Amino acid sequence: MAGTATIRAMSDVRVVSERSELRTFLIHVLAFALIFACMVSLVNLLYIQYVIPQKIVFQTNSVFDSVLLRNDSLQYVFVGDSHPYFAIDAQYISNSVNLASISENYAITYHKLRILTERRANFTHTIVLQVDPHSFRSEMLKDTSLTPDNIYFYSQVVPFATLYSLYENSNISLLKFLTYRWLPSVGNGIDFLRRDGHIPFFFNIGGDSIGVHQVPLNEMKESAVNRVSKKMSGAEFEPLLVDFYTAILSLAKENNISVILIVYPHSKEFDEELVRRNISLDSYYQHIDSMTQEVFVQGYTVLNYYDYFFNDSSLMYDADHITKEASALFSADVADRLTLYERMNQ
Amino acid sequence: MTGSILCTCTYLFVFKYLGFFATIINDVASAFHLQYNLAVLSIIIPIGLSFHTFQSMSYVIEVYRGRQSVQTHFGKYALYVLFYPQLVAGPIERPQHLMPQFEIEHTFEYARVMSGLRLILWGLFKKMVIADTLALTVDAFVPTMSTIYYFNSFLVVVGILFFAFQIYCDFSGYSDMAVGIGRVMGFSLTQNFNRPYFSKSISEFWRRWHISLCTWFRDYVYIPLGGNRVSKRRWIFNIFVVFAISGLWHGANWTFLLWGLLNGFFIVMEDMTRTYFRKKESFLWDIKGMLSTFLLSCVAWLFFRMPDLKSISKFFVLLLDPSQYSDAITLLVRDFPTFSLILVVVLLVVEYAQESGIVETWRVCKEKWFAFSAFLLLALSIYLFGVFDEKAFIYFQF
Repeated sequence: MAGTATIRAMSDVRVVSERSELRTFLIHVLAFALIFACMVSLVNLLYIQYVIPQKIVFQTNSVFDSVLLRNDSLQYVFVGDSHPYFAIDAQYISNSVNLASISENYAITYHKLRILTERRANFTHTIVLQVDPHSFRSEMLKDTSLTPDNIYFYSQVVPFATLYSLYENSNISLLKFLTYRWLPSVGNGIDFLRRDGHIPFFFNIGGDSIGVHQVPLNEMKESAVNRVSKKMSGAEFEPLLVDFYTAILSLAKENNISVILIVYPHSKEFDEELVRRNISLDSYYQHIDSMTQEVFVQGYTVLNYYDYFFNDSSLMYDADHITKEASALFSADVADRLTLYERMNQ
Repeated sequence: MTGSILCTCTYLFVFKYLGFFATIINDVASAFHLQYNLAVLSIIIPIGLSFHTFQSMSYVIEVYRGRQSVQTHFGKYALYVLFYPQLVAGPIERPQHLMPQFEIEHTFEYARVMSGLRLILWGLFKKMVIADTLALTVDAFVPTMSTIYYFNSFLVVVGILFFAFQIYCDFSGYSDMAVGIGRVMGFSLTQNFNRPYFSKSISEFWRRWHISLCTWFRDYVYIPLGGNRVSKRRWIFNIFVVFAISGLWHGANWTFLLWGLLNGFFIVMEDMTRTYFRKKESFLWDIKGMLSTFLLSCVAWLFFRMPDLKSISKFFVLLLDPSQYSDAITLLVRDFPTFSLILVVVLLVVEYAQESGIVETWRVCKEKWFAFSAFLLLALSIYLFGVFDEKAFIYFQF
């Protein structure tokens, strides 16, 4: 009997000690979680305040803000994704701004323009809208457009409902989507070292040394295969993007803003890859033409630079982006053509 | 026992090696201009196949040898084979170590749970911050299957130096998390790594790297073959057999086989040259040993990491091209992966502190506030510098 009582007493002591240890553990975990949450909030706040304005997509945002602050009307506003972002140097085209951002799709472009027209109806005379071979592809809604930077950036421009519909069409998880929406600093700590968009001596955090450099000429064909696979394997006309494209045209028409469509330069190798895959640009552009004609019944202007650098691949950064040097040449030519367009319209 | 092992090996062979051997047979047939074409199957490999087949073989062998009693409860046997913290990438547990733990009652112990959580956090840091950041550098320098056409051999050398740390942090990070999760639940799992880059010889390296697999091969392949209690020639044969199997265990690819054989070669060479390089008790001698071991392991990692034999031969050809060096130096001067280097230094400093016992002897390390701050810092580092791209663990493919 005494033995049983002793065992029971020892067991009771063990249970009490276990409970007390569990209580201590929970208090410590809670304290850790609270302090950690405070630290994360502070870091996130600092990130939004000081780092984000330096990042390239947000530099576009500052251009966006500058458009809103202007008193006069711009002559040309360039919109689109990385193609206009890298190809158009607005310094060469008088009274113009380049509002393009990397991986931007028509949904984002529409909301950018909507905000601008709502705040300043006459912010520009003409919108130069990108219509490249990949512009309507379903890949434009996949996770390539919803990079961490973009999610936060988009959230500053588009309503949450639009952002959420983009998420629904993407491959990213809900957790990741919400995290990047509310905590843009997650995994981006190295950006605190950024100065003027660069990280001094801290290369190679998120990029890669070969990927961020110009593709060598002997690899252009491979680059074309990669780029076409990456951007043009899905549906040719994504319905959501078609809707937003039409919405952009209608918005421009309602606000008496002209629209010029532009096809940016691609490499010869890119075109050859499209041919190899039996992707017809003729039928693609015919379809775009019929969509555009429904809004602009009296016609519209197209600047077709698709084959502009076919004879000089050294000016191509990769199969579908041009180099900085080429950007100067290209922007000057665009400026000339736009001047011609203005004269014809006068 | 033979029947059971054959069954398990057949299962492993069908899923993992059938395609590889079919390709070899087709290549040989085509070399002799024979019209023979075996279908190369692309089968989805069950998760952690190589690990749990080895674990189940371990059970059969131990029961056969009488060192483990027969487990009559199927659920407990299944739990042993598929114990979830270590299911995907080990450590490969022995039944004598894991099975008895299923029989005891597990209670909550503050110290044990905390130490498990600390290990999980450190494992996460190694994986998400160090390994995945180094992966960006390595992938930029060392070709993969999709970037096989163009690479710079000198940059590959730099990339492999980083890869040595990437694979270590990737794999040991997983092992730390597995051991940590087990510890939180009250289970003790085998230590899989013991700071291998502080090894002073290749044989010591293999006593510190992937310990559970190495001891598995030692106990179930090397010793049954005669171990080192045989003639020199036979011992060399044993070493090469063990390392060849170890290489193939990692994957059905010639590169893995060469990696294994090369490690075997290093062990044999080390043994043969032992009399010329007698161990001296000095700090500099230790450093020399560590550096040479690290560099030799990197030579082997080159074979492990390169996508195929063609790229390996191209690597050696390009190594003789002087223009490669100037290109690489220009690129490195402009874009040196400093952050990756800093992470490697952080890892080495922490591991040196553990290796030299500073963590145990410094009083400050035992203070609660110190541990609390250190883990807050670690968690914040993961938040800020972790790579959140859902990168799979390298060893998941094995």
